[in-house]
Amino acid sequence: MPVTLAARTEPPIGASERAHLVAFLRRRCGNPALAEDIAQDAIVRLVDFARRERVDHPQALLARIATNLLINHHRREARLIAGLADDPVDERPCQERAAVDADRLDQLRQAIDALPPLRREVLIRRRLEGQSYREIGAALNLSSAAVEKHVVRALADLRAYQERHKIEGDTPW
Amino acid sequence: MVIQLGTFRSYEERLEEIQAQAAYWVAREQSGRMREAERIALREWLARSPAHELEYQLLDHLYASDELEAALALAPRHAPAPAVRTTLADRLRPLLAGIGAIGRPALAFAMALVLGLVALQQIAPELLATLFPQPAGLRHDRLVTRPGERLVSHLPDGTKLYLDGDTELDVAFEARRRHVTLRRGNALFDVAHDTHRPFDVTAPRATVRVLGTQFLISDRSSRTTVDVFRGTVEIDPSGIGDANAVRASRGSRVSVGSELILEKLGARSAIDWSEGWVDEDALPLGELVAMIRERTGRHVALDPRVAHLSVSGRFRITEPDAALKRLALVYPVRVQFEDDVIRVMPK
Repeated sequence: MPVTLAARTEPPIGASERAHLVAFLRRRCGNPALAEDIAQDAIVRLVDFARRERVDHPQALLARIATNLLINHHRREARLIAGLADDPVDERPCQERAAVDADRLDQLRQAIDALPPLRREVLIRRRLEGQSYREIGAALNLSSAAVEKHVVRALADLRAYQERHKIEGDTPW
Repeated sequence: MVIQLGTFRSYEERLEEIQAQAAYWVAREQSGRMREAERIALREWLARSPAHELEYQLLDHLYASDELEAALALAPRHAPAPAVRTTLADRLRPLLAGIGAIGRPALAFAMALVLGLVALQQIAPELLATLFPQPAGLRHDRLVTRPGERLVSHLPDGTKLYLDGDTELDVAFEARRRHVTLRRGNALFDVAHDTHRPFDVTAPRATVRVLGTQFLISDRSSRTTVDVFRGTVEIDPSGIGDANAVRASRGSRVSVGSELILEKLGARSAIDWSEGWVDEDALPLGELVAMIRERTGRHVALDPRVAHLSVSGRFRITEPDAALKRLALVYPVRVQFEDDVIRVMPK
């Protein structure tokens, strides 16, 4: 049986990687203090992660962890202010909306276009139109179990597409 | 020092499996039919590895995101197949039997073939299309929308045209070229890349030539604007004497009026347009009102004295009442709502 001996110290995240990560997060959220907090939190989590799993590319993983934390933060905030303001005039200056957003949307549209037509239709009906698995099944002549399988495959396909087609500005490195 | 077995696969090597499992759990949650035992199983799966938790959250974010919703809203639909379908042979049999009764086999065969094709055209046009393909998908269409309508048209090569309200255009899809004539209004183009079949759009004041890109072309009262969201286009301003063609790439806007103006597009995107957001600096109020009319079909009576007032900001033209109300707070105009008309007057 092949056995590898690996002398592993802490993941190779030094001061320069940390600085890159903070700069990346600052570009994404525009808030220097928040960027620092999330970078710190992400590094702590990476260390814990690497204790429990073998990690080949700690930098890439760190970027994913940090991105996830940032989205978590935004979703929490969005829930807090949801319902308080539904304003048809967006107060934010348009420059703040990163060009990355447009790229991400494009990427997602291409990923959706690449899905088989039936799988895409099932996802549209579920996520966009809020139909139940039973309703979708009746409309498309599928069993509920088959509908669920289509949703599972569609989601996995979308994530895999995002992994394969990275967009500029999506990672700090 | 850690000793690892070679069969112990890394997080990256297992990523695809983990993503498939995460997809299963997110879809399960979304089904609204999770039982208590499954919830426990999900919690155990999440606790087993930080990788599970990470992938689950990333996929959950993706599922809940506005971007996914926006992208799905623009995605092509798939028409459901009819639940019961008699086979083609069943429906043709009586027809063939009737012809066979005439007796002369050769004639009967020829007639059966003709009638069969006619019947096929009725019963299964898509099958006929595969048996006898049209030469290289020739297609000429005129697309027209009324105020308040939207239209998405798919060309055979995957190119998509999104027409705003009150828009008219002609499409010629041919073997060696793809040509659109925008007669009025505005339309977003998502052009499939095809070097052998160039794509151009002729608008009243300019011709736009592209290979594969995404751009919005709007014909306004005094100018034609081209917003380029992806790729590069070449714009030939026919309206301006001997002006040369210009190349505009991603993130730029070209306005062709009495002169040609090239500016940066800022953070505007195709999705903004689709969702009804207008983000402009110094836009004449008359043009904003025209956009509202095209998009929603709402009648806005604009006093000519304020038609040239320049307004700036980000407006949602699909919500005209609220957008105009906000405008009146900042600009010297008064807005009055009547049954079927919104009046905009000087203050």
